[in-house]
Amino acid sequence: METCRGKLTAVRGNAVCVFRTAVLVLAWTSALFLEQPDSYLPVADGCRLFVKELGDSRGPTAIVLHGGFGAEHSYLLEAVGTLAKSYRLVLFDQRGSLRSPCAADAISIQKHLDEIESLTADLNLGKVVLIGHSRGAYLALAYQQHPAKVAGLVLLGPPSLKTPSDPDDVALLKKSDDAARAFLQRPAIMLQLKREGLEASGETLTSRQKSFAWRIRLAGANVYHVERWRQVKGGQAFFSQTSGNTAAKSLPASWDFTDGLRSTACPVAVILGSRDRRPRGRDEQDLAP
Amino acid sequence: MNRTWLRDLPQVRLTVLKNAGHNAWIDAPKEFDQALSKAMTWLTLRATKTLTMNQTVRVDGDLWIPRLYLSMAGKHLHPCETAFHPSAARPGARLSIRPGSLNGR
Repeated sequence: METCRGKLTAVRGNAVCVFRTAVLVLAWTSALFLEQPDSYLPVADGCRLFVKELGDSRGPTAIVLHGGFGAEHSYLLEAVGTLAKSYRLVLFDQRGSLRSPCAADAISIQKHLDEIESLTADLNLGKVVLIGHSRGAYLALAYQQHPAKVAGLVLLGPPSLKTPSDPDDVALLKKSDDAARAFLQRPAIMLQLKREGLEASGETLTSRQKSFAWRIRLAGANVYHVERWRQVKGGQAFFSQTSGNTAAKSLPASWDFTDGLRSTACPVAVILGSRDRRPRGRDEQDLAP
Repeated sequence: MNRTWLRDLPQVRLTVLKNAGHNAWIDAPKEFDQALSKAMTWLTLRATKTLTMNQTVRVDGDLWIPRLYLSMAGKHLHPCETAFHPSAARPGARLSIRPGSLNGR
């Protein structure tokens, strides 16, 4: 009886010990992966960048570049969040975007590239991976002018890698634009509007319904499974059309990243949706995000 | 369009997610996570080893002057660090690390 009680106490003791260890490990890992407090980085022209850091501070660093131009970082949290287990992630709102107010005349592609520079210097990041979505991928590609500072690129749904010049490329662009138009007018979008009772237009809809209808159309442009429209973030107050247009106007008349990609020593990973049908040309400002 | 232009670029790894749109993580969350994770593993040095100056590296049997990092997980050198030896940029190159002096090269 005595021995039994002793064994029971020992088992109970072990269980408590295991539980305490588990709690400690959990607390330690949570602290490690905890989101850092948001911060602001003053940059040139009196602008400030809103910066969000998360992930394993001991891991390799990736800077995440949102699209638009003129969108903001938060829609990408869902996309890259799982990397926080192993990597340090630095997200920010580009100048002129939601949380990074900046005068319109201080917004340009070059200034966006300069702010990546400021960010790496201020946070002492060293070599980084750049993860860019949509036109953020354009910035990542353009930032390769600093190869010593880039460990590699991850391009998510990048815009056109070059402005078409030869007839083959022009034909390819036309085909792509046709596909984009067809994608935006596909029946699945109207069907979804009908399912939600939002097919009517104009004043018959409440403002809430109008918002939902707008979001379904936004989803129609950005996702294939339009029935997942509720998951599509961004747009409206999360998108600065003015900043986006200003940045887009500063794009060069033509570009060609393919030569650089052919000769680069740095690895580049590209992830594309087979149904990614966003317009690609120079003058086609992205719909947010 | 981009898919055509990305063909045959040696340093580019293209992953196309089936039935996914511009925000592919919404259409194909699991596949997107996997693709992103693989891409990051490929790009970064998950299991890194800092070489000291008295270590040498062989890439497919050829002596290679060590740079800072080796990808032990991917078994290939980080391509950005391969200025000294082009073959090291080739994915799948076989590496061996051994103590020794660079002077013995």
